[in-house]
Amino acid sequence: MFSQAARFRRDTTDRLLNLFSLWGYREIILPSFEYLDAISPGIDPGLLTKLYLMQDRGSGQVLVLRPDATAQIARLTTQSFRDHQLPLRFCYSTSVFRDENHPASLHRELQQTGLELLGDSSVAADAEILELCLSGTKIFPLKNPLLVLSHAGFQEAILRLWTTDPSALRELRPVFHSRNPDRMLSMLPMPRKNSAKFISRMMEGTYSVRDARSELNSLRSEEGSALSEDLNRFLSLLESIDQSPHGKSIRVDFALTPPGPYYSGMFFQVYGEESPTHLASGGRYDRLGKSFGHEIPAVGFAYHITHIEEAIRKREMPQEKPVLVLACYRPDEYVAVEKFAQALRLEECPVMTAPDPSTMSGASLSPSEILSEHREIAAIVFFDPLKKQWALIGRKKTIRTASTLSEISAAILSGEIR
Amino acid sequence: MFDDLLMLFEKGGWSFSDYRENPRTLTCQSNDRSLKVLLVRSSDVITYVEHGGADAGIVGRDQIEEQNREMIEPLDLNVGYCRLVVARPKGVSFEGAGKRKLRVATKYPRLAELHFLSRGIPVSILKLYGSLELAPQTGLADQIVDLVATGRTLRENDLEIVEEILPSTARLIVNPASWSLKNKAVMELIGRLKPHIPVKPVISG
Repeated sequence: MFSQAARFRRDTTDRLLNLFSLWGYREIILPSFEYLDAISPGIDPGLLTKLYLMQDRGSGQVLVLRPDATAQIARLTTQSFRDHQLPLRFCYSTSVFRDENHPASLHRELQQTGLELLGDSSVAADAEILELCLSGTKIFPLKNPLLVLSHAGFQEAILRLWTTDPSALRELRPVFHSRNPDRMLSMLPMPRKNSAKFISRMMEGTYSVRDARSELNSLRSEEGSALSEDLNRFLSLLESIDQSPHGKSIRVDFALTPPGPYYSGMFFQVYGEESPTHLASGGRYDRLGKSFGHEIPAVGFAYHITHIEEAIRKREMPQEKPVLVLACYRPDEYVAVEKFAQALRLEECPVMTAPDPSTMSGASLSPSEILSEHREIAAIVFFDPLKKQWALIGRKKTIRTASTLSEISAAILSGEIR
Repeated sequence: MFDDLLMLFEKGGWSFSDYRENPRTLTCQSNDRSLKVLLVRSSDVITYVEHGGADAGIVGRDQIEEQNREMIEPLDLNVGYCRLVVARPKGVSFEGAGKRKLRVATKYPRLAELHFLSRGIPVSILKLYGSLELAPQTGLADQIVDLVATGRTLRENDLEIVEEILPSTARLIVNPASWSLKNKAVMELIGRLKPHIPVKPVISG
């Protein structure tokens, strides 16, 4: 990753973490290695074949390179969380390591920036996460971001209207997520016809928040108590976001596939016009803490920075004007040139020094060739032996010639290279 | 299968004069320019759709299962019907059980391996890309796992079907981002195709 991409990552990450801190999220830095035994209870089984494992030299135990930040944070916090304390808010920016080997791309290290809110099971906490996730998309910025929302508990409750047999449920689930209601009805007839009609319609498309509320209200009047808890919770969340300024950037997809098996409540994915894959994902995962020995309600999300960078790379990025000065020295000029450079650096002007190419053996580059090869350099300072003067060369012209380096320095500091 | 699909789209109200004039083209557009069609290998369709080369694709269930992908797959188009089957030389049963593994040639190594392992049969899979019928004749394999429509090719090569693994028809698959961002257009596509889908699976010519 080179300068512009690296700067983009650093800038956006800093701004995201700053945004999160305004909401009370404190940054944590996670360890790269975990003992597999310690972390595996919280890892999505789908990730188990994608892990990078190695043996610890000292203990001989199996170590894993962090495949997922959420499981790590859940493990760390469940061990220290005390009941009745204020909710914990953490944010992070880190790499996760997985073998995401698909035919069209190979990723092993994925950058994620995200947050987790632990110890708060309220709908308000869910709404906070949605609000923050959409607010953060303005930092990149994503073009027309769309947050697609669903609810894992509600999905399970719907499927249980069909059947409570665990093996039949296992077969129904992928068909539900494939959005093919005809196949679902042909596999197992729905006992109640009106509900089947509602559910078929729910699987077939995405809904505005308002329309989703109306679908859920219809289903509630049909099914009553069978769906009450999850349906009411989902409805409360939709009611709260319907009023928010971000309501129009949210659509509801009742049959969206949850990002992992530990999601228990609302979950979502964020898409943008420029990418064929989701750019952020998250949700409520109240069950995850239990796998580490302490049940804690938790909700969070992560931006998939690697995917966002890939999407944004296709854009025409505005080229930043270079400000770096290259000061060249011949062997006897090193001390003077370094002193000149140091004085400029004290004034926050970036300068790098290098031997004068004309004094080096082999093919050497002229100042104009250096400037065309290195877009990051704004100007070059060197001693012209023919004119016996120092020269300051910019991208389009000679900016200044002078008999001393202090005159060149004054020209740079007065802004002549811009 | 493409001719059957073309007919289905034409019944749905699109026409493809470009393709009719030049059937060797790899891309064509509908006359109203609302659809652009890419013609790619069946095994590449999922990759194109997953990585955004296309918003939606049409691919056999055999490929979806072989590539083990959970897809948004809202429509079974009921054309291109075929079956993934185990076949062997007529009247020849495998006599090496207990001495060596059954050797099976196939273009579907994942599904074939799962099929035999679920029956507790040790198997050695040989991945081939075509003319599977030759594998038992030349001693490369004891049996094959392949797609059959009418079974004619098998019969012509003195092979018989032992069992069926999977029935397959063409499915519409949709990229998750396109499903969300272009849901109205996707639902229109589905709505226009759905009334013309054959009631029973059709074997494509």
